[in-house]
Amino acid sequence: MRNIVKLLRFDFITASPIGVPVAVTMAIVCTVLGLIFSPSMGAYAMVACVTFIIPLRQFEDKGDTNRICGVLPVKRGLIVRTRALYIYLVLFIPQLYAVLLAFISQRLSLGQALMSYENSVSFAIEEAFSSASITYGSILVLFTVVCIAMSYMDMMLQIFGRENQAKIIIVTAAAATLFMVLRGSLIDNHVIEPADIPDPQSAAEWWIRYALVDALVLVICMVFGEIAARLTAEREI
Amino acid sequence: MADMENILEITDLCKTYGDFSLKNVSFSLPKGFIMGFVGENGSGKTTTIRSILDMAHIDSGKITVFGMDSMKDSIAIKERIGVVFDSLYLGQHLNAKQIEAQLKPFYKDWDSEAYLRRLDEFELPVDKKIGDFSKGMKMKFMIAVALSHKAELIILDEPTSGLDPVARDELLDILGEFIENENCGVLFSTHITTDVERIADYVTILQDGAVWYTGAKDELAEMYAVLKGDEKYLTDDIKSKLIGFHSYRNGFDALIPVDGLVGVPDSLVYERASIDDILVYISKEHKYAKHRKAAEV
Repeated sequence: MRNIVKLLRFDFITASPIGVPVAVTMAIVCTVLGLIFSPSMGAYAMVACVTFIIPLRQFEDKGDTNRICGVLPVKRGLIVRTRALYIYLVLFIPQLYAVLLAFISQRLSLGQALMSYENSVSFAIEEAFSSASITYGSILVLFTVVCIAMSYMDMMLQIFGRENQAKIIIVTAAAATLFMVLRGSLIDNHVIEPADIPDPQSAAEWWIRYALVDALVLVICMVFGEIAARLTAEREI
Repeated sequence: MADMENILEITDLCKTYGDFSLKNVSFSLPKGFIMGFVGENGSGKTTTIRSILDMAHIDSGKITVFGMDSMKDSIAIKERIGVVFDSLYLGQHLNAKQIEAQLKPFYKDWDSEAYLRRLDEFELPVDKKIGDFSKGMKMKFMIAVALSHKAELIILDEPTSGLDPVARDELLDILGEFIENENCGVLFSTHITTDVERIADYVTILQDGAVWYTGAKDELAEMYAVLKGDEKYLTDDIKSKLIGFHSYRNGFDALIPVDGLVGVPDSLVYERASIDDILVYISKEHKYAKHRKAAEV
């Protein structure tokens, strides 16, 4: 456990020169805009936190830092597994911020108070503040998509190498497109029915949904990390 | 070396990569000494070092560091080893303070005061990105890191290549000071043999993946000579002892074991062979052997 914390800290320090300025700027901007225009603005700050993830590999390539795996007194597999947890955490924490911002923003409803005149902007703001399910739902969906996409990419890059990044993106995008087309076609032809998940009706139901989805995403991230660790742990550096 | 406690012992190390292989590499480094690990490019120095660090998986053989198995006990070993590669393996965009914050938790014996003192001693700025350091500064920085977690064995892979003479001199002085602690050791891979002649106590020469010589540097210096002169004075007996024989218009030169100098006519001259000479002649001999083999086929 201690080594995991040490490695999380190691990755955070590596990414922080880029990640911290971006995250702080986005947090300030999103807090202001979120309080006035749309409670779901915090989700953008969450997306901005990918700057804590993407630069890691760029720094690694630039600085021959892969060798650090051979120098640090920790198992290489643990380094890979911890990276998956790191990706989850750097998105989970801003997700909490986004939810908190949405909650405060909904309660204060500053946007509706400030923009009382009738026009299309004020109508859009009113809509944004009135729909809790869209706000909380969009934060949750964004967190899920970004977190799974980031940990998936990290797994693939660990396995196939950064030099194959373009190929990985092309193949993954093609597979995802094919899946979406196939799914759409099956739904259109009434072969399958689209899943109808009702919106939670209370705060408690939202908490449960968040807990379940976040737990599921954590499991997926850790599975990706485990696959990458097993396939790369025995590799030579 | 048998009666001294070894900090590093390699026994019959074999490792194959495509058409290159390490062949039964064996040597040991006693505590309190510096070993120069020399050989031409591609002779297997880096592969051996990677094997010691468990970065390469050995096919057979045994490596023990501080008496522990390099594979089974790699974590405990790495706590006590400092590694200096030919290039920086730390985040180049970070400064020395940030690097300390990253590395300190991994080492029980990390000494922040000693780290800052070393940086000051080596004239390394604390707030400057380490990627902006000169090559010499980067090498010194990696040594500062190694010394700050009280490494007992420092392994350096080609640290002086690409360094100017002043930076090389500084680096060698640092290693000299480090080894004053008799419980420590240094394995120093290089192809700049003058560095080895200056600071090493022991030398291991690798040639095409096999150990050509391992032992005390001073003994090696007494073992070989460079023989020069007119080819017409060479007898078959002397010729058979020559290594890396090179004939040219006005004569020849070759390496010869000092034992083989008995019976050499006065018309031929000889001088003590440097490690550089030895490397050059054994490399030539190796190439001739390859050509002979190819011709036979």
